[in-house]
Amino acid sequence: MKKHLSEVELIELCQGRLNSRHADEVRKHLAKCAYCAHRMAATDEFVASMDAWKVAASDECALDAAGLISQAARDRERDLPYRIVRVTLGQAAAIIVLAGLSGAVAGHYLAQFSNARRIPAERVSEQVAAHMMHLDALAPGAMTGLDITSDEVQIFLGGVTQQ
Amino acid sequence: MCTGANVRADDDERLMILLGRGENEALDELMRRHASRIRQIAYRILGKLDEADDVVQETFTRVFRFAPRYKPNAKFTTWLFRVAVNLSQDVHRKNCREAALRRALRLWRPVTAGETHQESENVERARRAIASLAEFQRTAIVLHYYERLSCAQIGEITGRSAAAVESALSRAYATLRQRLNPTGIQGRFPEG
Repeated sequence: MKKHLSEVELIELCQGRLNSRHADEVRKHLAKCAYCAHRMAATDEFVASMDAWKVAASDECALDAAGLISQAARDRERDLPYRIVRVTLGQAAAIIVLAGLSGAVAGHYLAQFSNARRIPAERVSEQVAAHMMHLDALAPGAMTGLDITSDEVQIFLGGVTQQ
Repeated sequence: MCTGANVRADDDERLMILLGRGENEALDELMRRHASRIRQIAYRILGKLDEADDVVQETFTRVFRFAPRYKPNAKFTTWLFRVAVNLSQDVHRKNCREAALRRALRLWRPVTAGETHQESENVERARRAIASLAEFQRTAIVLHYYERLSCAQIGEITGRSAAAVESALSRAYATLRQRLNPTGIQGRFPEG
């Protein structure tokens, strides 16, 4: 056994909580160790001080079970509407999240579809450049007074975009 | 044990399962079994009966709400005491913050002679000595001394190791001895 008994052992011996084997060991130690025997004697006094509150607290804590049960019943009734609201809100949130996810997936596929028909970037730059220089006015049949072929327009456009 | 027309149960875990299935009579039985003990634990941690009653109500409200999701992995009372202890500590911390604020605002009102007269001197000394302990030590003392739980059980409830609980208890008991029985050990007998 260790040198001195712990506070916990002294208290548990005093309260009769140690099992018989452990209690025997503690008693043997107390018979040999004057210091622990002295602490044990003081423990009786200490336990009496602690138990003063124990008795008072037990008296004060006489329970009104019927009151608690009726309160719990009232809480249950009061809780029901909140539970319904919580479930409803939860379902609404789930629907919103599902709708958002569906929209995101649909948007992704639509974007891919529209990308497939998109005009290549170099053709866009050609058109923008032609539009900025009003070259559409040179197109065949345009009311410009000039008469150039579409091939000549393409050559001109090529020259513009290469610059 | 019979808790009502439709509820028969022999242990707390089974009562919780029944409560989760909508057998509300099981809550009544759980309260009959444990409310008094929860109230005493909360009272000793908080020192005020009205606040202890609030803790009891809140504890069983949580039991009621948690029951549908309850899994009997651990002993029911371990979980129940953990809820009660945590709620009591939350209230105590809130009280400490408010007391600090009151002191800061110079609204502190000491306990009057009339109030202390209602209790015996020994009760008041024990209550004050325990109230002056650090939070974990106070909880450990309440559960070990008054509820007679082992260090391992207290460890499960508070989420600490049994060794940490025993260490805290040793310090707490030493402090309480000094405050309640200052001539008991120290100064009369040198350690051998």
